[in-house]
Amino acid sequence: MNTPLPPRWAKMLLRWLHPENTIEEVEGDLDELYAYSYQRFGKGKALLRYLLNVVSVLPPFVRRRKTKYEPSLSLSPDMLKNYFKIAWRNIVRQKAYSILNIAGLSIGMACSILILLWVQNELSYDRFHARASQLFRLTCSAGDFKTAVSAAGMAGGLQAQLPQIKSGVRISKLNPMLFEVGEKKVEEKRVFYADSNFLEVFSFPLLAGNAATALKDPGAILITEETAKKYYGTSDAVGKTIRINNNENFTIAGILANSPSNSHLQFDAIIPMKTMAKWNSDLQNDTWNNFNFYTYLELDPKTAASVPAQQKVLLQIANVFKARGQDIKLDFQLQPLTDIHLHSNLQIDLPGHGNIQYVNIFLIVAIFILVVACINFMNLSTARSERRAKEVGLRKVVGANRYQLVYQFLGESLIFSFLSLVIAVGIVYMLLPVFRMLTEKTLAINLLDGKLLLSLIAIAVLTGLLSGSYPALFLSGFAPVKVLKGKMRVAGGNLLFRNALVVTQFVVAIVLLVGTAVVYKQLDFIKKRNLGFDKSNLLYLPMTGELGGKQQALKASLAQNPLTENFTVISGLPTNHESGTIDVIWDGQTTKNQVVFPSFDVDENFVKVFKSQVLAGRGFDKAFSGDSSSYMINEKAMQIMGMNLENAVGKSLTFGETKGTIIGVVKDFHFKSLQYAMEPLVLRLNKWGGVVLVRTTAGSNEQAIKALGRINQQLNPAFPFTFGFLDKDLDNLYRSEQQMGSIFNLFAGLAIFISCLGLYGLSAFMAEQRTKEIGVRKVLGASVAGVVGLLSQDFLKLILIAIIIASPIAWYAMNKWLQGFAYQTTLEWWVIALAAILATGIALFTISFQSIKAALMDPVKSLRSE
Amino acid sequence: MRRTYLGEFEELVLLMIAILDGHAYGVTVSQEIEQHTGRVVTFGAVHNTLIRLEEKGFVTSGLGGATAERGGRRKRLFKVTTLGKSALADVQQLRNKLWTLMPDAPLKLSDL
Repeated sequence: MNTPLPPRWAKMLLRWLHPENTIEEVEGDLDELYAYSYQRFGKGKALLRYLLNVVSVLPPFVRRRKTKYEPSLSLSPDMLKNYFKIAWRNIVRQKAYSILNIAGLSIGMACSILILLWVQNELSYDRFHARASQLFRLTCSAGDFKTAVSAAGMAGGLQAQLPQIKSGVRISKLNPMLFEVGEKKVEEKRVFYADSNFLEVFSFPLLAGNAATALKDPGAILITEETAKKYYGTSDAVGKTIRINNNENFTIAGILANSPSNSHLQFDAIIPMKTMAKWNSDLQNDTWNNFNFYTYLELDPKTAASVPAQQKVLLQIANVFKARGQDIKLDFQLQPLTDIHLHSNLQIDLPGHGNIQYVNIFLIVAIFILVVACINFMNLSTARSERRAKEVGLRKVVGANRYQLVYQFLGESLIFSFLSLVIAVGIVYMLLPVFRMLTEKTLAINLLDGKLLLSLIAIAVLTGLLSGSYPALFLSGFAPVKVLKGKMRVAGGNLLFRNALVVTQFVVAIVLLVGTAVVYKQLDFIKKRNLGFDKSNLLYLPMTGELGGKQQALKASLAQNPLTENFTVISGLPTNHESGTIDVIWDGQTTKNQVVFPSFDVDENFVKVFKSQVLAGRGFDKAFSGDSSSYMINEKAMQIMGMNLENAVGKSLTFGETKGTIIGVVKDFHFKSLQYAMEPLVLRLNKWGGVVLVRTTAGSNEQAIKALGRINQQLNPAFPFTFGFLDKDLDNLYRSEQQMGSIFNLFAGLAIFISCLGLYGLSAFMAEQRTKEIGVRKVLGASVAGVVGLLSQDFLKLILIAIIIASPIAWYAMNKWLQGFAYQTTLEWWVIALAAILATGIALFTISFQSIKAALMDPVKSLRSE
Repeated sequence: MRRTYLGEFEELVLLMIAILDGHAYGVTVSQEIEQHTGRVVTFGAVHNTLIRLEEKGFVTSGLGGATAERGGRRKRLFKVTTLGKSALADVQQLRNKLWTLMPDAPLKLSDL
């Protein structure tokens, strides 16, 4: 007779969930009971009972049978004590290896922690605002010209027409101003005008004063705590007055908390927009075609959360813009507030933005460095596995199963990683001041911060598990019989794996080396690139205060002094050029212009002082009285307008509202950061001032500065003398690249150092293993050089493989990075060759310590024991 | 001296094991309980109690040989230990003693 069988799925469930050690008997018992009740009560009742029984033996109802060799035994206090004891003995007995391991791991961890601190800071930008997710900046682009600014009338106009926009705030560009309190006079650079709802929309706390009214009164000013302390020595300064630009007094209406370091808006003082409206025509007319303000819009939560809704808003904005009679082809974008710091690549933006690319690169570097450190650990512990083989064998003989051994070795590597973590935190504390200087960020490590502590522990656990995984699996797999017989040989597979790890380490090291070299090469390339004018020895003096009104007197006194007679007045420095228009009409134009034409106002001396080259026509000249309506253009503008050197001069050109003629073409010169490709440029005759640029001669800079200072003192006594050198300012444009370069350099160096620690340990082990072989060779007449060569050979092969793998990776990665620059250095093969040679050299140097020591050893000693 | 406590159901199961005399395993114990007391108990209750009795030292167990009728799965057979026997004897002795101490009246009442 066929015994009736219960349903399969119930059985599967039982097998899956019931404790393993009683499943056999329980399954049998249940089958038997099913058959019994099937006969007695029929199928339905039997099934019901069976299911009930199955549930009753599933967790959490079932009681677990304890076996004699319970796995939980390994967690008993005695075993734990034993594990710790053994781990400690191993650390202490093999001091050199332990130090290598812990040093490598802790340096690697310290690097990663530093990088993570930096990354975390970069990612935290502007997230502290209560409604950060609802805030967007309105930006626009005309073709390739993308800019962060928008027009004065947009915030109000859009808010009135689009219900999705809850509020709009305008902020002016940074306006440097001379602050005067009592005797103290300082030019403050981080000052801007803001709409009255600025404090409502953004969460910048006001320490004193009324947030609702603080930015309403045109005669008021808000200053930060730090600024207040600077001028008054106390933060209690509400109601006091500040004289600004030597002509107007402002009352302090409130004290702001210092702007958080992770805010893209950095300020020392804020002045109500109403003050600016007194003189600014953009604000008076609510203009829609002059792009001079930063507009921040707060969307309602629903719109802010959905991309299609935002697209709709953009479409509506474009329609409103068109309805205003604006026929410029302009695209609008809503840039999330939290994206501004890292994802912004716009012109005319606030300074100090980061770059998501760098965040990603450094995250990868952090991971690489940690992996390299883990590889050290793996390599050293597997290489030295023979020492632990007997222990493993014995443990297995007395009943340890493989899992217990895996846990034991993983536990040991966790002990290592936590020891390293403690040291790493110490290193981080020590290096933090240096790192702060390098990154110019206020980074801090606060161990009481739960999140940080958690991520540190996560790093340690991850490192421990990663570095312990292979040794644990490898060691626990030893067959006790072989091991205890003493026939243990390091298996070929293990050697291959170890070699692969060494190759990986050197691939990382070489890629980082190439990276460093290319970053420096690019920086050097940018610095040395011919800008189209001579940037050295150009001293500048901004026309502040009364200088603007006394231009004739200023020019006369400059001309009198032979030190300063070689000067020109231009509207702005070619470092942060910020204006342009698309309102350009020229002879023979077929379609309406869609390219932004920046412009400079220069005087007659410009060509001479800048040492730029006139390719056709002439420069501005006092001899020609009509020059005030003449234009000079650069080659790029000439190409865009479809002209050439033969026919450009004499053509008519309407720039803005003014119609004039082209009188000359200058050779392209860089008037913006080299990040941007060459743009068209129109030069006009300067009638209003801006900056005085003086060409000094090398060696007479000091005297020229003094002469300029005296002139400023005479003509502009109320304002402090400010000056600068153009080449220094130009170098500063590439500051963030420079910073990245030095940080990259630091971490590349550390990665190589860690790799070398591992290599050192590995070579020591190899030399030790081959002691007898070397002894025999020496007895038979091998030379020291021969033995050193023999020992280095194996590693040399690995490094060669690493070079072959690393080269294309480095080539690809660095080409990708260079593509971000409009002007790139070439990536030449010798850069990679140099990195390869350097890596090989360092590696051979590291190995040489051990190999030479081994080669010099007296064979009598090494062979005596046999 | 602290004695190991023997619960009501534990006592019942322990008695069944003693009765079955070497043939006690999950199935037979469940069936015996059902037959003698009319109580239908889930297998889990029996299983857990058997494990608990073994932990307390009242029974020992061992896997029997392979059997044909249950797909070759072995049975876990239970035997009462000396400690188990003395525990059962203790319980019985205690009951007897208490019975002798009882006056007649309550019993008669319960008969009604």
